[in-house]
Amino acid sequence: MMLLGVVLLLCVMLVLGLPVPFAFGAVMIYLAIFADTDATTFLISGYWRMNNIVLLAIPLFIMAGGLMEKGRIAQPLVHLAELFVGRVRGGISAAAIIASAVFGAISGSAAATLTCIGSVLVPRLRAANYPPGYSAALIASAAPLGLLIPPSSIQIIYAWITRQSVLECFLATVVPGFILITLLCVLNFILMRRRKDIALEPAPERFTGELVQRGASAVPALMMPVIILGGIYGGIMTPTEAAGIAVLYAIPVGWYIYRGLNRKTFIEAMVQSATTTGVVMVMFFTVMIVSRLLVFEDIPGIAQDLIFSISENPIVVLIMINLVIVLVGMLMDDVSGVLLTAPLLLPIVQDLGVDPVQFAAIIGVNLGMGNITPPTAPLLYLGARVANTKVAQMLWPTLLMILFAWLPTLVITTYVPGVALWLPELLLGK
Amino acid sequence: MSKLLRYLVIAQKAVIVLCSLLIAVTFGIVVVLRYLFEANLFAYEEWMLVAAFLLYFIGAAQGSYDNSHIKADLLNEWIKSPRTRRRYAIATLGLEIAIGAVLTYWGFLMVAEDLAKYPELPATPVYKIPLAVPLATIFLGFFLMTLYSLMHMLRLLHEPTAGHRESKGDAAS
Repeated sequence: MMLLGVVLLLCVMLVLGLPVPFAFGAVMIYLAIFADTDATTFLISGYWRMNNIVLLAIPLFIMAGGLMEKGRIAQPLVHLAELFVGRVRGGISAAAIIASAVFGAISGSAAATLTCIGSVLVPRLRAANYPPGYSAALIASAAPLGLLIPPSSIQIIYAWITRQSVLECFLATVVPGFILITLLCVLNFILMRRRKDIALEPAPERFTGELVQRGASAVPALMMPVIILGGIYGGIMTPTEAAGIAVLYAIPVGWYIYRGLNRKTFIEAMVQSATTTGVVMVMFFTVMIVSRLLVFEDIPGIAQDLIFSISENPIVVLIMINLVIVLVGMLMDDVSGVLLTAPLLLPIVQDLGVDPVQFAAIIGVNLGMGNITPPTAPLLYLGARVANTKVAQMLWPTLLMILFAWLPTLVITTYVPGVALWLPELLLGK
Repeated sequence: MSKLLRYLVIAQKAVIVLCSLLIAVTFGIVVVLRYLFEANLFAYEEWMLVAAFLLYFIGAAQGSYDNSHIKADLLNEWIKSPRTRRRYAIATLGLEIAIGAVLTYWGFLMVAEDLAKYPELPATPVYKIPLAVPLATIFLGFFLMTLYSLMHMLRLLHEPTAGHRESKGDAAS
């Protein structure tokens, strides 16, 4: 009864259009009234949960992403990718997918990836006669790669709430990320191969010279993932420190090398990222309180009984769990999604023998897909805004990308444990 | 009133930018000190987490002012009539204000309860920063968020032509 009340209230509040923290605030009020809980302890429990230095990686990665966006750091990455694939149909759009993955390794945020890559590539795609709806759908579908290619904010959160190693969770999503990149590229080439009106980039007179020139220009941008990931995996920095270094590196690179940053754009980027941080972290705060209350009310146990009463077949249970996470991803953002689903569903999947590190990858792929799955689909709407096109024009290509790229990636990640666990085992000896 | 609000927003922006820079620079110093000078920045977590809470909650208040909090907004997409949209926006804002008021009240109780322990206020071990300081940022954040929701509602009530709240809404992941 309690579970039903919470789920119903949350869905109603979200569908009504209340901001996520207020929707969870409503659930807190409901629990204060109907559950045997002391409401005065709610906020202080949220404070103690959030009073953790590890979580500072989230605002710092948001900040790094914001500075890179304004610092025009994406442009040289796109130029370099275009050199390899720009002369075939579907080449520039494939460059968008690859650039999204590389930018994901820099920023750790899907929205920053979408805005940054989209603002650089949409005008080029339009000039080359790519269908506007398709271009926007492709960029929106590739943006969640920012959640899969490390460093990823949601993996930091997942690792923190489930007490797993951040490094293992980072590595768990790499192979699913590469599978997704491959499937998106293949689908893109299949869909674009018959479009004769697409303008192709002329072949450079001297490929090597062009490669050296574009490569040199991209080096400062490409150094970013090297510093972040090298620092983390080399044991030099913690993920939070690496995020701080990423911010400090992005400022001179964006200001003096790519010249996108000046006093005005710098302040704009800082205010925008700080606001995004506030929006994300206050959501985090309220979701944490509710998820703790739900654990106290034994809602995970109730959910487990409910799911196992339908079926005990692991394949069916995993399908149900995936459906639940996709639905959550459709209704709320990835941070709230991981905060809500990880503590509730991890005990269930562990009962089935699923490794918590593999579940990190399952949640990552699911929430990425939820972000582009209508009706809520925050990245789809953001993509429409970045590309200045209608969401309706994006629906069909998005559906194709969900069916032929995202869904197969999800199925493989869910049912083939090695996909998520191979890299952590290889590099960290898990 | 609008002048006061403008100053408040400028102050908010200054606070969140300074806190962001402080946090990033501190981590830079921590790494440099550790690897170049083999030294540690002693107990920096104590004041940095206060700056973090200020950033989180004043940033959230700024998000309320900008209307950039994440929301599903499904019904708003389906409502075509501007009049219905306006009524709907006023109703959801009313709900937001009611919830925000409860959260602000809980925040007030939390700070008051902590201050009631005077003279033995709980504080951090090294720099003796009272616990009431970060707790007050939570109260302040919810208070400002509720205030801005009220401001949006009053604006809607006074501007009958306003269809619905424009939202930046892209503050995702």
